Amino acid sequence: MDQRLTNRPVLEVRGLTKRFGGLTAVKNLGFEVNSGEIFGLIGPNGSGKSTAMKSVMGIERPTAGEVIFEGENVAGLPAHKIARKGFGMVFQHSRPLNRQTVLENIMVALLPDSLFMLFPDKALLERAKWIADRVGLGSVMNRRPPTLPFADLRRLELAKAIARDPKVVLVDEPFAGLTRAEVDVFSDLIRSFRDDGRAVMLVDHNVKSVAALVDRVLAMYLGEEIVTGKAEDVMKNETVRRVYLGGAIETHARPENSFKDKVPLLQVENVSVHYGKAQALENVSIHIHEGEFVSIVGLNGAGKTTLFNTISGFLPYSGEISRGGEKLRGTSPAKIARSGIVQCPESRELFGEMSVRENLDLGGQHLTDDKRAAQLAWLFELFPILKERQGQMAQTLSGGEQQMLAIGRALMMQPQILILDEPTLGLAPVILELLSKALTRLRQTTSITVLLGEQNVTFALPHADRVYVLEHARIVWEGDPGRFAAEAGADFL
Amino acid sequence: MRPQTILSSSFLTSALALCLAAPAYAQSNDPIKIGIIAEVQSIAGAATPGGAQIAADEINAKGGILGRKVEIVTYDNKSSSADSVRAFQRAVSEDKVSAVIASYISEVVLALEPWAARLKMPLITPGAASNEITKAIHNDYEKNKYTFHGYLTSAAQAQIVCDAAKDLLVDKMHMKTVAIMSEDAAWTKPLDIGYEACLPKAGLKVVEHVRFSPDTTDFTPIFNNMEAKKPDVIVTGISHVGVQPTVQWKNQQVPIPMFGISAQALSPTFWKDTNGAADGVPSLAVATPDVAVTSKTKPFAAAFAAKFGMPPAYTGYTAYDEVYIITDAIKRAGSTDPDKMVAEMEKTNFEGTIGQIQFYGKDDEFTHGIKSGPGTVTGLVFQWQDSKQVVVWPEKIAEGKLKFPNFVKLSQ
Amino acid sequence: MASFFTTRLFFISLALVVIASTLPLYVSGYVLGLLTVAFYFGVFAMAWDLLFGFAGEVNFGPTFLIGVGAYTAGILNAQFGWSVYLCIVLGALASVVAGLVLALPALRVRGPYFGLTTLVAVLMLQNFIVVFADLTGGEIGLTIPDVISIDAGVNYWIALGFMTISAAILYGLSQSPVGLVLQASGQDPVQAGALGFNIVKHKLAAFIVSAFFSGLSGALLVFYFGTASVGTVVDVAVGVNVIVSAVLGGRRTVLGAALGAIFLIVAGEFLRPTGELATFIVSAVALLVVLFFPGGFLGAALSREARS
Repeated sequence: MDQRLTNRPVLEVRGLTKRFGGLTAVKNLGFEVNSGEIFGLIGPNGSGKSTAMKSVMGIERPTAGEVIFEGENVAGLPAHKIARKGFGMVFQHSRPLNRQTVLENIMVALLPDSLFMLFPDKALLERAKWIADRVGLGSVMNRRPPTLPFADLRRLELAKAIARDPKVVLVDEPFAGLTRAEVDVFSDLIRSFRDDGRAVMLVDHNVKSVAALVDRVLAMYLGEEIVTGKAEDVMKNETVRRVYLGGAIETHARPENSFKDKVPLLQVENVSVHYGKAQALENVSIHIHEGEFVSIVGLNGAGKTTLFNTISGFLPYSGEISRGGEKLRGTSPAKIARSGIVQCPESRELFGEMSVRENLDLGGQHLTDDKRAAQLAWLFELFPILKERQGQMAQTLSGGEQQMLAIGRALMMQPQILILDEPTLGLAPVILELLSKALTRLRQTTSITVLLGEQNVTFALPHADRVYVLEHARIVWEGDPGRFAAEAGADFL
Repeated sequence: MRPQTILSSSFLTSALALCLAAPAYAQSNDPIKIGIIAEVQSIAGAATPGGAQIAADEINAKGGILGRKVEIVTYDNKSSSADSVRAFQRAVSEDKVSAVIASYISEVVLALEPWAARLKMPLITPGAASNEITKAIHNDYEKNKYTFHGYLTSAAQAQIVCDAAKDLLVDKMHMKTVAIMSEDAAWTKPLDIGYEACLPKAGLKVVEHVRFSPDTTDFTPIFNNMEAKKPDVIVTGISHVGVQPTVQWKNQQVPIPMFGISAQALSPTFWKDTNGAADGVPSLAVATPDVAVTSKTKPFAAAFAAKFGMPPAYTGYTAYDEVYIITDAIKRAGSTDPDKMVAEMEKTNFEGTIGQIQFYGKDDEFTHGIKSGPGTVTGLVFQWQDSKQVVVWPEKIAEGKLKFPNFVKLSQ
Repeated sequence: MASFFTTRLFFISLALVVIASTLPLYVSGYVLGLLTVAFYFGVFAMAWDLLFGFAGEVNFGPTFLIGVGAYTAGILNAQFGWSVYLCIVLGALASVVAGLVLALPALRVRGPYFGLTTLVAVLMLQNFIVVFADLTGGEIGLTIPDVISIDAGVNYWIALGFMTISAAILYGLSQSPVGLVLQASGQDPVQAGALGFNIVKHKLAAFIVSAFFSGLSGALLVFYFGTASVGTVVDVAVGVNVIVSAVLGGRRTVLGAALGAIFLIVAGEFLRPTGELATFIVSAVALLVVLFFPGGFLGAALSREARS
């Protein structure tokens, strides 16, 4: 091959577009990755970054555009063909073969795509051992995956991805679920891939977490590129800052000592939760006063939903959760909900085939007819759109309307503490504004206590009296929303 | 526990079968065993071992056969061919029976027929109807001669229904048209062929012919369709279903009378099962408890009712007769040698509960089927009237007249 | 894989087969007949586990493959009088062809639709048999002129030998490199694709192997019974038994499936005196095992070993 070709980037993506029905998840995306480079693809939830990566790998078939690998357009090929050309992918969730050893799991990745490989090859075994050593699984290679700690399972995924010596390695959220110390180890491993001369492409939510690792970053939002460049430049970019932090934030915080209760209404003390081997919450302590509006800010996977589910009584935990001084441990989720802690989950959980009105009536089914009518009238004032849509089936509402309905249904239960989990997920900016106004009204007209979990800082701060930052299962910052941007904002870029 | 000879060559098959069967007639003090393979969970199936047991008890009370007691061994086949084959093998090789009475389901009997040939074991069915059973015997007599068809074949049943229809419907009620309504099952195929052929000869024009799935639960469209064709009578061929169409016939007040075969109506509990909708439903049968088809019918029915608390279903009568047919053959043959038994069973001329029983010979169309018609098994038609099965045909033994409920509009 | 010959599982299996092969010397023909059927069912269940446990595809219609093999063999023998052994081989091949015709389009649809397609296939086969009664014997069943043997011991040994060989092949296959790829494809098709494996190809191959053994076993069963009927080899209820056997014995164990089938059939027979209750008791046991030991008999044992 001539000089020109060898200097070409190993992976070039041009005009990549992926549509799902009417939704354009990735729009005309273009970038290139060179051998010996770590390239980051960054964007908030729903920005299309994962879809972009899957389209490169062939897991999703691109609607348009080119994926050029060493001069050959591989767009549209099935994943297994693209993989054989020299791609490896590290998945975020691993499902290893539990009855086989670590070594055998790595062996699988080395096998040819043949139906007649009936006996294992000695040479492959040696290669598998070498790879196991390489990623730090040398000491556990004869154990079976169920006996391994979480970090080792992630190593196994790395091992499988690089087993056949791919020229391009794609990594989906490399640090999800890892502890700080483990993050460092994995960063070193990924760097070593670069040093082997591979092109590495990472996908993650925010720049900060991968800033130290990547050579270049492409930040994207709503399927489109915002900016590409060095991590520090991208973090300085105005559009990026606006997407992640919003513009100038107006806050309406009431000082904590303005709340009269001596013992906070809800106290979470040193709570830890494990999902199997992954730690989802680590010594988390928060408290909320009666009538207070508290926001928990954290990236996807930080542990917000886990925290809320723990408060609602769905998960076993260590530590204590008490409400008005009384311990909640041992109380059933249903009882907790009836006692006034009402969670409005991320997934909304509406009854799609029932009308708006029926959904609301279900929320208010414990009320007397008079009270229910009054509550409904108040609610329709808060969300006028729900009044118009009363007779419509819930599943025919737009995303924003569904979110309002979910909040409305929760409010019909007359909660003492309302927990809102990621209400902004997947909503368009206009809708966000509507929702934001409703929250303002709610805060002004009632004495309700609200616990809001958000990764959209712009949405979470204006309403909050107090803010907690949840990161990698731990609370890392607590304070006034006015101080947030200065003290904790950088982590959200 | 007997060590088995290991022989796999197929040319030794017959020798082997003899080996297997040998101990059965070698030890003369052991009881003579008769295997019953039946659907014991259904009323009709449960009557099979019941009827056989009563016959065995009677024989044993008189000292048994050739100085040996008769023992009935019952196997539940769960209405399955596979279970029946296993039960048959067990009966022959394990329990050393001398003959097997098996099943009212044609499918099951047809599955057992080749096994009767392979293991040379006399087999007789108390209730299956398919013509295929006798056809196989006719086509390959030497091989299949061990099977006997102890109940009316579908063809014979069709003929009897036609004879009765001529007397009762055409001659007395001047009916002219008929609709045939049969469930889609093995036994109704030859039955329907028979109906199609003999009903017109009896003077009834076939204006509609419906075959419906045995899974049918709603007969409304079928009845509506029939009403539109305005037949004078519906001639049925139903067995697996029975309660449902009867109840709907009543509820919907279908103005057309029913006639023919409704096997579930033979069950003594049919009136209760249909909550009285059975009123006016006739069916072909071989015997009913209160009519002396022969001198043996009523005493047997009484004995059965005394022992089991209810009158026998049709397989009870036939199974009772068949135990006598088998034991008489053994008595005449002087042994339980299967070939000798078959030869003697062919000579059967026995007055049973259902009539004078004789079998068609090797050269007849229905080889080893029971002869039907005057002097042999005539069959009868009864009708449910006021919670009782009343025999209405043939005239000789009739207890009452055919009469249909009020909602039925007779064309004359 | 080679190390299998030194594992406890191997010695236990070997011991079981040796003991089983001596049974005709001292147990009755009745027990032998029961086990003969159980062994053929064992092969059905093992072939099914290859699809469910390894390829991750739930085949709700095992009796489609079994039935095609059984009926093809039976019809060829009944219509043309070809030799039993030729008919058995042709039955197995017909099952492979039918499996291929079914799986090619079915594997392209995702999620529960594969299972539904297989279920529909059974119903179609059932209807075909009923409609073309002249050829198939219809709902009466097909009477087959020849049988392999009428000797209970010989039939038993043939079934035992067939099951042992099938188990060795299917288990060996499941533990071979191809088996690992298949298992990976079943567990996480997206990841297996990204590792460079054409999962459709591997699943199709698994389907063919499963079809071959199902059809072969179905054909052998037909020449054991001397009859083929919908109720014996095609009915959905028969398929449910096969599935329950495999799940009971332990998903992804192959050998467990055979144990499950033997348990199911033998237990059903021992409980026969309880009448209708027998089905209930066996179903209840199956349900309890699935609820409390989702790994099944062998699965529970194997995963304990995996953890140690």
